[in-house]
Formats: sequence, structure tokens, C-alpha cells
Amino acid sequence: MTRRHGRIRVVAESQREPVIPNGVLGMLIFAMTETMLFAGLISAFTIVRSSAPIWPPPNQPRLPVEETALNTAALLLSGVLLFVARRRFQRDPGGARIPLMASMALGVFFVLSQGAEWVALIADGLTLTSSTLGSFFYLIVGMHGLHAVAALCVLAYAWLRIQRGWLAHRHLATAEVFWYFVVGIWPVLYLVVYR
Amino acid sequence: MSFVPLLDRIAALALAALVAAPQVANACSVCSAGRDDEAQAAFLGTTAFLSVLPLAIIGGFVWWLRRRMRAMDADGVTSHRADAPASLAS
Repeated sequence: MTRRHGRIRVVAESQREPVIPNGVLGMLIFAMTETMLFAGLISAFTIVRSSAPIWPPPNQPRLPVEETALNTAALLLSGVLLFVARRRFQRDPGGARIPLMASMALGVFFVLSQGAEWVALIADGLTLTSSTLGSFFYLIVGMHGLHAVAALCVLAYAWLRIQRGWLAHRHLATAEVFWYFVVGIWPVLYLVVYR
Repeated sequence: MSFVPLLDRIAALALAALVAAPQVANACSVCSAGRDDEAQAAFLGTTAFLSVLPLAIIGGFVWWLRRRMRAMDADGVTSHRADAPASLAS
């Protein structure tokens, strides 16, 4: 629909192709705000650790750096597989099913491994109230785990839509933004919290 | 006894308490935390980090958006229908 204002013709916005699909834009804004949330948590943790006379606190178990490195590799590989899924989706939507499923499987592996790690740490005496290390560890890693579970649900929804044959590019892109956020922020958290 | 003189007395008492026991002021975790070099560096680093990060995020997003709009314009994606005029054409 075109309207005329004097010598100027204005095209209605509904005729424009959006620069970013609404879902992707919403997810990007969400990811930005969540980045600031994690930045605040990282900053608070850094200050508390630098101000502590002894770190890690005495009589507290050490965090499993090596085991978590494996989880980190699995999560990063999951991000790569999602990228592969996107490339395949552009050529043949059905071809994205396997890499998307593999990406989700690695994400589930990451979340379950983190859960197993928590169980072991709680058994060793690191709890939410045992020390500032415990408080920050469960808060930061738990917050990330929560995001990972939510993003996995979004990926699973995208996979179901592929199965039914009605996944649009914008839907996959929205899920991608969420998962890349989860994947991208984890190495930073790992380096800050586990070192 | 009116209300305002009571507040004055409380304020005077609080001031006297602070003068008599200055260590109470250090109960604030931020006041006592930055005493050694490492903690001060952490405060400085995290302040810079939290100041720059939102600017970098928003700046990066605007830069990416602008690049994408230009690419779409170049591809003719935003030119609507073939018979439609430009979005703001004189």
C-alpha cells in the first residue's frame, strides 16, 4: 500500500522484508541481556576471589577441571554441528535432521555430565552454603545449565518441526541464536570459575 | 518533643558512634575489600569490563544490522515488489 504525502510516496511497512525476523531479534535482545547477567556474576565472583585471603577456601573440594574440559569440548562440538545443520538446511531441509539431532545429543551429554559433577561435588561437601566458592559455583554454573536446558527445548522444538516438514529458516535461526549463546558463553565461565 | 529534634539527636548519636568506632564503617564489604593490589586490580578490571561490555554489545549489534541492511539493499531484498516504489521515493 502506497500513500502520498505531498511529493513523497511512502510504502507501508508491511511490504518491507524485515532485516531480522522478529523471533531472531527477540532472541538477540534476550541473549544481550543475559550476557550482562553473566557479566555481573563473573565480576562479582572475580572480586570475591581476589579479596579472599585463601582461594580456593580451605576444606573445600577442588573443581574437576579435566572432566569439565571434556564437557566443554562436547558443547563446542555441538555448536559446530548446529552450524553444519544450518548449512544442510539451506540446501535440503530434511538433511539437517541428523546434525541437529547430534548437536542436541551432545548438549544433553553436557547437561547430564554437569549434573553428575554436581552430585559428586555435593557428596564431597561443596554446597550452596558451604563457602563463597560453592555459592558462586552453583549460581553461575546452575544459571548456565538452566539456559542450556531451555535452549535444548527450543532445539528439540525445531527438530520436531523439521520432522513434520514445516520448519522455516527464521525458526531455525532463532533456535541457533539461543544455542550459540549457550555455547559461546560457556568457555568464558569455564575459564573464570574453574581455574 | 517535636519530631525534627528527635531526628537531629539520632543523627548526632550516629555521628558520635562513627567517630568513636570508625571500624564500623568498614563493615561495608566494598570498603574493606580493595585493600591489597590484587583486589584493587579486580575492582578496576571488572569496572572497565562492565562499562565497556554493553557498549560493545550494542555497538556490535548496530554495526552488524547496518551491514546486513546494506547487503539486503544490494541484493534488492528490501526493494519490495518489482512494481513497488522505493520506501521513500520523491
